Amino acid sequence: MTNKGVMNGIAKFPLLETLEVFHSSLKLDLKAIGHVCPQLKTLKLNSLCCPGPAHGNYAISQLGDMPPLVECDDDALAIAESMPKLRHLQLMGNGLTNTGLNVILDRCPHLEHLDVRKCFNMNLVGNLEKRCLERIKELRRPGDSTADYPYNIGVSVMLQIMISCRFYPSHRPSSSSSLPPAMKERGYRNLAEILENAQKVCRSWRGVVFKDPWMWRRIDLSNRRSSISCVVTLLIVAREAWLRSTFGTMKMKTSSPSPMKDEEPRNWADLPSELTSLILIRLSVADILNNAQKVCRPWRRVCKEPSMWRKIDMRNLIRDRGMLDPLAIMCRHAVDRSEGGLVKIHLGNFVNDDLLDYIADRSRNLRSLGLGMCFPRVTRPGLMNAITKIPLLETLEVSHSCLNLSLEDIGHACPQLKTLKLNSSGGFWNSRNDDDYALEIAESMPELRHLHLYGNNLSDTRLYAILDGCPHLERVFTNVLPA
Amino acid sequence: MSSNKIVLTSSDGESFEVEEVVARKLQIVGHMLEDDCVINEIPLQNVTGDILSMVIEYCKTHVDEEESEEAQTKLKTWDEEFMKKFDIKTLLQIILAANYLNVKGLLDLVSQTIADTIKDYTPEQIREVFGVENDYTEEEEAEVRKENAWAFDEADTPKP
Repeated sequence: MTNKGVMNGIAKFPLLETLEVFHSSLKLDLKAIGHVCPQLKTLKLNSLCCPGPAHGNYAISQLGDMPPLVECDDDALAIAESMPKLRHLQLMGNGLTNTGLNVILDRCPHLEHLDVRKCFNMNLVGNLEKRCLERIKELRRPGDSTADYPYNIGVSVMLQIMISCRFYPSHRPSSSSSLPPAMKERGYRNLAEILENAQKVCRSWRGVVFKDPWMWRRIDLSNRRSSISCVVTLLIVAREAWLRSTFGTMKMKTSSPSPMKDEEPRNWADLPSELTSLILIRLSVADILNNAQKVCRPWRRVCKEPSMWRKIDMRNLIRDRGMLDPLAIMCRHAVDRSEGGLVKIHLGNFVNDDLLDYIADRSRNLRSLGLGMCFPRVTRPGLMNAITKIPLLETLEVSHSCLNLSLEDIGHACPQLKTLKLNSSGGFWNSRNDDDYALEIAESMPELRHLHLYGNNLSDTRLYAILDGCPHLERVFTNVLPA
Repeated sequence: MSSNKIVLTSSDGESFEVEEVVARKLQIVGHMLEDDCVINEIPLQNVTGDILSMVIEYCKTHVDEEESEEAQTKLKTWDEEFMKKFDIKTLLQIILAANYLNVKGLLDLVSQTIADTIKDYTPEQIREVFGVENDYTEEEEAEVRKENAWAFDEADTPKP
């Protein structure tokens, strides 16, 4: 890790509030750091036990056998000049003198905690001591013991740097909610473990670990004696998750650390794909397939994403008889693009038995099916055939249909059915008594929450039967005729 | 919540002092406040002052979202008028800002506005509106056309 590398990294975290560097032989440009991170409140520098050449005040030192430190106030002056918001300052084994400390006290008015253990070039007596005692709530003196120091400074360690930085992701992705709370809690504390174990649990956890920037808000690798490559991997994963969330995928491609402003997309085609999909998903199926996907390559890529096709609404596509087949073909194409992820589909009058069968075969996860004006192209056996293939169905909506439904069979085929909407305003209930429907609902759909029955002539006795048979019912819309 | 003020600073150094409740509508700020309640000045690196002021205007209007139908209708009308102010280039900046600052309502509003704009447009018209270049090669375009040969023109002969 070089000074330039550190600076490069730090420049990307303008909101940095805490910076800790331990056992490092780096000669940091503290002034530059202070200017890049105006919010810096905590700074901890520990230059004990550094292997490598002596750089001014960063001297090679061994515990118990401290060679005299070179007197040097460079760090102190840089801190005083560039970090006015500092509240906590730890400088262990630094070469600063009384002059340096005085300047820091002058220029950092918020300083509350000061730790100058092993800084033997200063002498905390007289006025300086008085100043410190007045201002500083917690003071650790040069001669104080380092026994409580959490890091084992007796070990000649490899270069370790810990940057405890605060990432502020632009959003908390919903995926983190799929993690058990304990895992989330641990996620904040021991990310390395998450990376090593949790990601192996299952695909979705792996997705969370790698993609959820929320998992990477705090990174603490200070207690790990891991190899540098492991540390670097962690930091890269964290950085990418963070970049992805803040700048969108677009920024990931640019490797040069040019200022963010230049990387802002100026063109709609450069919009991060998740934003493009947010817009395009609001278009109709016909608009996407006929127009949007032809605009440019990035849009076409977005339009091919299965996530764009989880909900398909073609209910407003009502055409004359001669125009129905192209729509059915378009619908198949849309279903193909969902790659089995279809959860909700609403179809217009172009639907027929074949299309229903096609959809059912490819959409085992379908939760919601809506059919409009489907008679006579959908038949009773055709619908039943499709419905038995989608047992997870929770919502069924059939409107303006003369279809004679077997609600009992439907109820048994879809035990999860929670919403049933039947609109028969078109007056077909000649072939069948509405009250039969009521009984079938009462007997076969115990999980029902919402029931809409329009255009039916349901007697209130039968409505009571439904209320008895469906104990979870929350909403009923119907035009019950007075008895 | 108290009328605690928070200063938001844009990438070009413009500062806006807003009520904490308004600032919290920017979820990026909300998360920062969750972490540390002593923050009262927040630099926002990815948004310029003119765009940030629009976002703040939206947040101020939406600061208490009442349930009542009347209030909802009023807000909706305001949203529509608000969106009319912007040309397509500004909308691009606003959607990026809404995403970065994580203002969900605004993100939805802008997406819907843009979707409504391009509804029923041909690819050529969309390219023109958005200033997007046609980056397809001729072969690719032919391929796209072949792939969905079903319903370009509903007057075409339907595929069997």
